[in-house]
Amino acid sequence: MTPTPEHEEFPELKKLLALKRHEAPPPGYFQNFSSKVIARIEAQSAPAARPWWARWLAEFDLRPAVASAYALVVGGFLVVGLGVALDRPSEVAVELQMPPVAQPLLAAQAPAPSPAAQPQLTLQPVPLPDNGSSAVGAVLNPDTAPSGFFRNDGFIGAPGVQDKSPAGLNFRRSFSE
Amino acid sequence: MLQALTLRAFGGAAIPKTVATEQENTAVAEERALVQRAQSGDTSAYDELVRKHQERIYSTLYHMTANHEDANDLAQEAFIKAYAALKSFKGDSSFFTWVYRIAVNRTINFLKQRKHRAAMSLNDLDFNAENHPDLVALVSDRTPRREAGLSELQEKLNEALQTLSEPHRLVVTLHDVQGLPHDEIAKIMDCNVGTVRSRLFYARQQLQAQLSDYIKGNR
Repeated sequence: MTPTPEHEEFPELKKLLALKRHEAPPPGYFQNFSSKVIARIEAQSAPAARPWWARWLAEFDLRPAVASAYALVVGGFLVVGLGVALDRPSEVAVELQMPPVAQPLLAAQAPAPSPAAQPQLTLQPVPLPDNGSSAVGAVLNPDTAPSGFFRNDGFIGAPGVQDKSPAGLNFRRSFSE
Repeated sequence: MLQALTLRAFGGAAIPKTVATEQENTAVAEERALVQRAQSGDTSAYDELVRKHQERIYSTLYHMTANHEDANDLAQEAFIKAYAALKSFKGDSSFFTWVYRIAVNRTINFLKQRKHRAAMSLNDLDFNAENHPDLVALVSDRTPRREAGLSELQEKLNEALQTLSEPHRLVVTLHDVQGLPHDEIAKIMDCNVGTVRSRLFYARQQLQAQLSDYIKGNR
Protein backbone atom coordinates (compact mmCIF):
# COMPACT_ATOMS: atom_id res chain seq x y z
CA MET A 1 0.00 0.00 0.00
CA THR A 2 1.53 3.26 -1.03
CA PRO A 3 1.40 6.00 1.55
CA THR A 4 -0.72 9.00 0.77
CA PRO A 5 1.37 11.98 -0.32
CA GLU A 6 1.42 14.66 2.28
CA HIS A 7 -0.32 17.23 0.14
CA GLU A 8 -3.29 14.91 -0.20
CA GLU A 9 -3.68 14.25 3.49
CA PHE A 10 -6.41 15.88 5.53
CA PRO A 11 -7.75 18.05 2.70
CA GLU A 12 -10.80 19.36 4.56
CA LEU A 13 -8.83 20.14 7.67
CA LYS A 14 -6.20 22.02 5.67
CA LYS A 15 -8.86 24.15 4.04
CA LEU A 16 -10.37 24.97 7.37
CA LEU A 17 -7.01 25.87 8.84
CA ALA A 18 -6.10 28.01 5.85
CA LEU A 19 -9.25 30.04 6.42
CA LYS A 20 -7.93 31.05 9.81
CA ARG A 21 -5.74 33.52 7.95
CA HIS A 22 -8.80 35.67 7.63
CA GLU A 23 -9.17 35.96 11.37
CA ALA A 24 -7.97 39.51 11.71
CA PRO A 25 -8.16 42.35 14.18
CA PRO A 26 -10.35 45.37 13.40
CA PRO A 27 -9.37 47.64 10.50
CA GLY A 28 -6.70 50.16 11.31
CA TYR A 29 -5.35 48.00 14.12
CA PHE A 30 -1.83 48.04 12.74
CA GLN A 31 -1.79 51.73 11.93
CA ASN A 32 -0.09 52.65 15.19
CA PHE A 33 1.53 49.33 16.00
CA SER A 34 5.00 50.15 14.73
CA SER A 35 4.98 53.64 16.24
CA LYS A 36 4.12 52.11 19.62
CA VAL A 37 7.03 49.72 19.27
CA ILE A 38 9.44 52.54 18.39
CA ALA A 39 8.12 54.67 21.25
CA ARG A 40 8.76 51.86 23.73
CA ILE A 41 12.25 51.32 22.33
CA GLU A 42 13.08 55.00 22.66
CA ALA A 43 11.63 55.11 26.17
CA GLN A 44 13.86 52.23 27.20
CA SER A 45 16.94 53.92 25.82
CA ALA A 46 16.05 57.27 27.42
CA PRO A 47 17.58 56.59 30.85
CA ALA A 48 21.04 57.35 29.45
CA ALA A 49 19.94 60.96 28.92
CA ARG A 50 19.07 61.47 32.60
CA PRO A 51 21.43 63.31 34.92
CA TRP A 52 24.11 61.24 36.58
CA TRP A 53 22.52 61.53 40.00
CA ALA A 54 19.15 60.29 38.66
CA ARG A 55 20.86 57.31 37.09
CA TRP A 56 22.72 56.72 40.33
CA LEU A 57 19.52 56.77 42.35
CA ALA A 58 17.82 54.54 39.82
CA GLU A 59 20.65 52.06 40.23
CA PHE A 60 19.95 51.93 43.92
CA ASP A 61 16.23 51.59 43.42
CA LEU A 62 16.40 48.86 40.91
CA ARG A 63 19.42 46.84 42.03
CA PRO A 64 19.65 46.04 45.68
CA ALA A 65 22.83 44.12 45.01
CA VAL A 66 24.50 47.24 43.62
CA ALA A 67 23.35 49.28 46.60
CA SER A 68 24.70 46.64 48.97
CA ALA A 69 28.00 46.61 47.15
CA TYR A 70 28.26 50.38 47.44
CA ALA A 71 27.51 50.18 51.16
CA LEU A 72 30.15 47.53 51.68
CA VAL A 73 32.79 49.52 49.84
CA VAL A 74 32.02 52.73 51.70
CA GLY A 75 31.90 50.86 54.99
CA GLY A 76 35.18 49.21 54.21
CA PHE A 77 36.82 52.54 53.57
CA LEU A 78 35.47 53.86 56.85
CA VAL A 79 36.81 50.89 58.79
CA VAL A 80 40.22 51.14 57.17
CA GLY A 81 40.32 54.87 57.72
CA LEU A 82 39.43 54.50 61.38
CA GLY A 83 42.02 51.81 61.80
CA VAL A 84 44.70 54.00 60.28
CA ALA A 85 43.67 56.94 62.43
CA LEU A 86 43.76 54.93 65.63
CA ASP A 87 47.14 53.34 64.90
CA ARG A 88 48.96 56.60 64.22
CA PRO A 89 51.67 57.61 64.87
CA SER A 90 53.37 54.64 63.35
CA GLU A 91 56.88 55.65 64.37
CA VAL A 92 58.43 55.34 67.73
CA ALA A 93 58.12 58.78 69.16
CA VAL A 94 59.85 59.56 72.28
CA GLU A 95 58.90 62.65 74.05
CA LEU A 96 61.58 63.75 76.36
CA GLN A 97 61.03 65.97 79.27
CA MET A 98 64.41 66.01 80.83
CA PRO A 99 65.76 68.04 83.62
CA PRO A 100 68.46 70.47 82.52
CA VAL A 101 71.26 68.21 83.95
CA ALA A 102 70.43 65.37 81.54
CA GLN A 103 70.33 67.47 78.43
CA PRO A 104 74.10 67.66 77.88
CA LEU A 105 74.19 63.83 77.93
CA LEU A 106 71.75 63.63 75.11
CA ALA A 107 73.43 66.43 73.24
CA ALA A 108 76.78 64.73 73.61
CA GLN A 109 75.43 61.43 72.43
CA ALA A 110 73.86 62.92 69.37
CA PRO A 111 76.59 63.31 66.81
CA ALA A 112 76.78 66.25 64.52
CA PRO A 113 74.94 65.46 61.41
CA SER A 114 77.19 64.35 58.67
CA PRO A 115 76.22 63.47 55.16
CA ALA A 116 78.26 60.27 55.31
CA ALA A 117 77.24 59.09 58.74
CA GLN A 118 74.07 57.35 59.57
CA PRO A 119 72.23 59.41 62.16
CA GLN A 120 72.04 57.63 65.42
CA LEU A 121 69.48 59.84 66.87
CA THR A 122 66.98 61.84 65.00
CA LEU A 123 65.43 64.59 66.97
CA GLN A 124 62.07 65.66 65.80
CA PRO A 125 59.73 68.18 67.25
CA VAL A 126 56.77 66.54 68.84
CA PRO A 127 53.78 68.77 69.19
CA LEU A 128 52.30 68.72 72.63
CA PRO A 129 48.87 69.70 73.82
CA ASP A 130 48.66 73.40 73.96
CA ASN A 131 50.03 74.11 77.41
CA GLY A 132 52.90 76.26 76.30
CA SER A 133 55.51 73.49 76.63
CA SER A 134 57.36 71.72 73.94
CA ALA A 135 59.42 68.66 73.83
CA VAL A 136 61.80 66.89 71.57
CA GLY A 137 60.77 63.57 70.23
CA ALA A 138 63.52 61.19 69.35
CA VAL A 139 63.51 58.33 66.94
CA LEU A 140 66.07 55.94 68.30
CA ASN A 141 67.90 53.35 66.29
CA PRO A 142 69.09 50.72 68.72
CA ASP A 143 71.57 49.30 66.22
CA THR A 144 73.50 52.47 65.76
CA ALA A 145 73.05 54.08 69.10
CA PRO A 146 76.13 54.43 71.24
CA SER A 147 76.83 51.55 73.58
CA GLY A 148 75.29 51.92 76.92
CA PHE A 149 72.55 54.11 75.72
CA PHE A 150 70.36 51.13 75.29
CA ARG A 151 70.51 48.81 78.18
CA ASN A 152 69.58 45.21 78.11
CA ASP A 153 67.56 45.61 81.20
CA GLY A 154 65.02 47.40 79.15
CA PHE A 155 65.93 51.02 79.79
CA ILE A 156 65.05 51.66 76.22
CA GLY A 157 64.66 48.15 75.15
CA ALA A 158 63.01 46.17 72.48
CA PRO A 159 59.37 46.79 71.85
CA GLY A 160 57.26 45.01 74.27
CA VAL A 161 59.87 44.95 76.97
CA GLN A 162 58.98 46.90 80.00
CA ASP A 163 60.93 50.09 80.23
CA LYS A 164 62.77 51.21 83.30
CA SER A 165 63.61 54.81 83.17
CA PRO A 166 66.33 56.17 85.39
CA ALA A 167 65.48 58.84 87.80
CA GLY A 168 65.27 62.23 86.20
CA LEU A 169 64.20 60.99 82.85
CA ASN A 170 60.59 60.80 81.94
CA PHE A 171 59.87 58.96 78.80
CA ARG A 172 56.69 58.67 76.99
CA ARG A 173 56.83 56.31 74.18
CA SER A 174 54.41 54.80 71.89
CA PHE A 175 54.87 52.05 69.47
CA SER A 176 52.95 50.89 66.57
CA GLU A 177 53.73 47.25 66.22
CA MET B 1 6.91 32.76 -0.72
CA LEU B 2 7.67 35.69 -3.02
CA GLN B 3 7.45 33.39 -5.99
CA ALA B 4 4.01 32.20 -4.89
CA LEU B 5 2.81 35.78 -4.50
CA THR B 6 4.21 36.67 -7.88
CA LEU B 7 2.36 33.73 -9.48
CA ARG B 8 -0.93 34.90 -8.02
CA ALA B 9 -0.33 38.45 -9.17
CA PHE B 10 0.14 37.23 -12.70
CA GLY B 11 -3.04 35.18 -12.58
CA GLY B 12 -1.20 31.98 -12.15
CA ALA B 13 0.76 32.29 -15.37
CA ALA B 14 4.29 31.08 -15.23
CA ILE B 15 6.86 33.81 -15.06
CA PRO B 16 10.50 33.41 -15.90
CA LYS B 17 12.45 32.06 -13.03
CA THR B 18 15.14 34.69 -13.50
CA VAL B 19 12.63 37.50 -13.00
CA ALA B 20 11.31 35.99 -9.81
CA THR B 21 14.84 35.37 -8.55
CA GLU B 22 15.83 38.92 -9.39
CA GLN B 23 12.84 40.31 -7.54
CA GLU B 24 13.63 38.15 -4.58
CA ASN B 25 17.25 39.26 -4.58
CA THR B 26 16.18 42.89 -4.69
CA ALA B 27 13.84 42.41 -1.76
CA VAL B 28 16.56 40.66 0.22
CA ALA B 29 19.05 43.41 -0.53
CA GLU B 30 16.59 46.11 0.49
CA GLU B 31 15.86 44.34 3.73
CA ARG B 32 19.55 43.90 4.41
CA ALA B 33 20.09 47.62 3.95
CA LEU B 34 17.27 48.38 6.35
CA VAL B 35 18.73 46.02 8.93
CA GLN B 36 22.15 47.66 8.65
CA ARG B 37 20.65 51.10 9.11
CA ALA B 38 18.67 49.88 12.11
CA GLN B 39 21.80 48.31 13.60
CA SER B 40 23.49 51.67 13.47
CA GLY B 41 20.62 53.18 15.46
CA ASP B 42 18.26 54.39 12.75
CA THR B 43 14.84 53.82 14.33
CA SER B 44 13.04 54.89 11.16
CA ALA B 45 14.63 51.94 9.37
CA TYR B 46 13.50 49.64 12.15
CA ASP B 47 10.05 51.14 11.96
CA GLU B 48 9.93 50.10 8.33
CA LEU B 49 11.04 46.58 9.20
CA VAL B 50 8.31 46.34 11.81
CA ARG B 51 5.68 47.48 9.33
CA LYS B 52 6.82 44.85 6.86
CA HIS B 53 6.44 41.95 9.23
CA GLN B 54 3.98 43.07 11.90
CA GLU B 55 0.89 41.42 10.51
CA ARG B 56 2.39 38.04 9.93
CA ILE B 57 4.08 37.94 13.29
CA TYR B 58 0.93 39.14 14.99
CA SER B 59 -1.21 36.63 13.13
CA THR B 60 0.94 33.70 14.19
CA LEU B 61 0.96 34.78 17.79
CA TYR B 62 -2.79 35.25 17.71
CA HIS B 63 -3.33 31.73 16.45
CA MET B 64 -1.02 30.45 19.15
CA THR B 65 -2.68 32.34 21.97
CA ALA B 66 -6.22 32.71 20.59
CA ASN B 67 -6.31 36.15 22.14
CA HIS B 68 -5.79 39.51 20.44
CA GLU B 69 -4.57 41.33 23.52
CA ASP B 70 -1.98 38.69 24.30
CA ALA B 71 -0.93 38.56 20.69
CA ASN B 72 -0.54 42.33 20.61
CA ASP B 73 1.60 42.42 23.73
CA LEU B 74 3.72 39.50 22.67
CA ALA B 75 4.26 40.90 19.19
CA GLN B 76 5.38 44.25 20.58
CA GLU B 77 7.70 42.55 23.04
CA ALA B 78 9.17 40.43 20.27
CA PHE B 79 10.02 43.46 18.13
CA ILE B 80 11.45 45.32 21.10
CA LYS B 81 13.56 42.35 22.08
CA ALA B 82 14.68 41.95 18.49
CA TYR B 83 15.81 45.58 18.40
CA ALA B 84 17.81 45.12 21.59
CA ALA B 85 19.51 42.06 20.09
CA LEU B 86 19.86 43.55 16.62
CA LYS B 87 23.62 43.89 16.85
CA SER B 88 23.91 40.13 17.25
CA PHE B 89 22.00 39.48 14.03
CA LYS B 90 24.59 38.20 11.61
CA GLY B 91 22.39 37.65 8.55
CA ASP B 92 22.64 33.84 8.58
CA SER B 93 18.90 33.71 8.11
CA SER B 94 16.42 36.27 6.90
CA PHE B 95 15.44 39.00 9.30
CA PHE B 96 11.88 37.70 9.20
CA THR B 97 12.93 34.21 10.29
CA TRP B 98 15.09 35.66 13.03
CA VAL B 99 12.31 37.83 14.45
CA TYR B 100 9.84 35.00 14.05
CA ARG B 101 12.02 32.80 16.19
CA ILE B 102 12.21 35.42 18.92
CA ALA B 103 8.45 35.89 18.82
CA VAL B 104 7.73 32.18 18.87
CA ASN B 105 10.06 31.45 21.77
CA ARG B 106 8.59 34.30 23.76
CA THR B 107 5.07 33.05 23.04
CA ILE B 108 5.83 29.48 24.00
CA ASN B 109 7.25 30.67 27.32
CA PHE B 110 4.18 32.81 27.82
CA LEU B 111 1.83 29.92 27.12
CA LYS B 112 3.65 27.65 29.52
CA GLN B 113 3.21 30.20 32.26
CA ARG B 114 -0.37 30.90 31.44
CA LYS B 115 -2.57 28.59 33.45
CA HIS B 116 -5.94 29.28 32.03
CA ARG B 117 -7.26 31.60 29.49
CA ALA B 118 -11.00 32.11 29.66
CA ALA B 119 -12.04 34.19 26.73
CA MET B 120 -10.97 33.56 23.23
CA SER B 121 -11.47 36.14 20.56
CA LEU B 122 -13.80 34.21 18.35
CA ASN B 123 -15.79 36.60 16.27
CA ASP B 124 -12.98 37.84 14.15
CA LEU B 125 -13.68 36.13 10.87
CA ASP B 126 -14.11 38.95 8.44
CA PHE B 127 -16.68 39.22 5.66
CA ASN B 128 -14.38 37.78 3.05
CA ALA B 129 -13.85 34.57 4.94
CA GLU B 130 -17.50 34.14 5.83
CA ASN B 131 -18.30 34.02 2.17
CA HIS B 132 -15.24 32.10 1.11
CA PRO B 133 -16.36 29.26 -1.09
CA ASP B 134 -14.28 26.74 0.80
CA LEU B 135 -15.86 27.65 4.08
CA VAL B 136 -19.35 27.80 2.67
CA ALA B 137 -18.85 24.35 1.20
CA LEU B 138 -17.47 23.04 4.41
CA VAL B 139 -20.30 24.35 6.49
CA SER B 140 -23.28 23.80 4.30
CA ASP B 141 -22.61 20.79 2.17
CA ARG B 142 -19.93 18.57 3.49
CA THR B 143 -20.36 18.52 7.21
CA PRO B 144 -22.20 15.59 8.64
CA ARG B 145 -23.95 17.94 11.06
CA ARG B 146 -25.47 20.34 8.59
CA GLU B 147 -26.90 22.56 11.22
CA ALA B 148 -23.36 23.46 12.39
CA GLY B 149 -22.97 27.17 11.87
CA LEU B 150 -19.91 29.17 11.07
CA SER B 151 -19.26 30.37 14.58
CA GLU B 152 -19.58 26.91 16.00
CA LEU B 153 -17.08 25.52 13.53
CA GLN B 154 -14.67 28.33 14.27
CA GLU B 155 -15.10 27.80 17.96
CA LYS B 156 -14.49 24.10 17.70
CA LEU B 157 -11.40 24.59 15.60
CA ASN B 158 -9.95 27.08 18.07
CA GLU B 159 -10.72 24.78 20.97
CA ALA B 160 -9.10 21.88 19.18
CA LEU B 161 -5.99 23.93 18.46
CA GLN B 162 -5.67 24.88 22.10
CA THR B 163 -5.63 21.24 23.11
CA LEU B 164 -2.44 20.70 21.14
CA SER B 165 0.93 21.16 22.79
CA GLU B 166 2.75 24.38 21.93
CA PRO B 167 5.16 22.83 19.41
CA HIS B 168 2.33 21.02 17.59
CA ARG B 169 0.10 24.06 17.59
CA LEU B 170 2.98 26.14 16.31
CA VAL B 171 3.83 23.86 13.43
CA VAL B 172 0.18 23.73 12.31
CA THR B 173 -0.05 27.52 12.58
CA LEU B 174 3.12 28.14 10.65
CA HIS B 175 2.42 25.62 7.91
CA ASP B 176 -1.33 25.27 7.49
CA VAL B 177 -2.37 28.76 8.55
CA GLN B 178 0.60 30.95 7.57
CA GLY B 179 1.71 28.83 4.65
CA LEU B 180 5.41 28.67 5.49
CA PRO B 181 7.49 25.87 3.94
CA HIS B 182 8.94 23.07 6.02
CA ASP B 183 12.54 24.25 5.85
CA GLU B 184 11.69 27.72 7.07
CA ILE B 185 9.62 26.28 9.89
CA ALA B 186 12.59 24.11 10.82
CA LYS B 187 14.78 27.22 11.10
CA ILE B 188 12.21 29.03 13.20
CA MET B 189 11.67 26.10 15.53
CA ASP B 190 15.33 25.17 15.54
CA CYS B 191 14.73 21.56 14.58
CA ASN B 192 15.13 19.50 11.44
CA VAL B 193 12.64 19.13 8.63
CA GLY B 194 11.81 15.56 9.61
CA THR B 195 10.71 16.72 13.05
CA VAL B 196 8.54 19.38 11.45
CA ARG B 197 6.84 16.80 9.23
CA SER B 198 6.20 14.34 12.03
CA ARG B 199 4.82 17.04 14.34
CA LEU B 200 2.62 18.30 11.55
CA PHE B 201 1.21 14.85 10.86
CA TYR B 202 0.52 14.18 14.52
CA ALA B 203 -1.14 17.57 15.01
CA ARG B 204 -3.39 17.10 12.00
CA GLN B 205 -4.36 13.68 13.25
CA GLN B 206 -5.38 15.12 16.60
CA LEU B 207 -7.35 17.95 15.03
CA GLN B 208 -9.07 15.64 12.61
CA ALA B 209 -10.13 13.37 15.45
CA GLN B 210 -11.59 16.27 17.42
CA LEU B 211 -13.38 17.77 14.45
CA SER B 212 -14.63 14.56 12.94
CA ASP B 213 -18.23 15.62 13.54
CA TYR B 214 -17.72 18.70 11.48
CA ILE B 215 -15.38 17.81 8.70
CA LYS B 216 -14.60 14.70 6.78
CA GLY B 217 -11.07 13.52 6.28
CA ASN B 218 -9.43 10.82 4.28
CA ARG B 219 -7.86 9.35 7.40
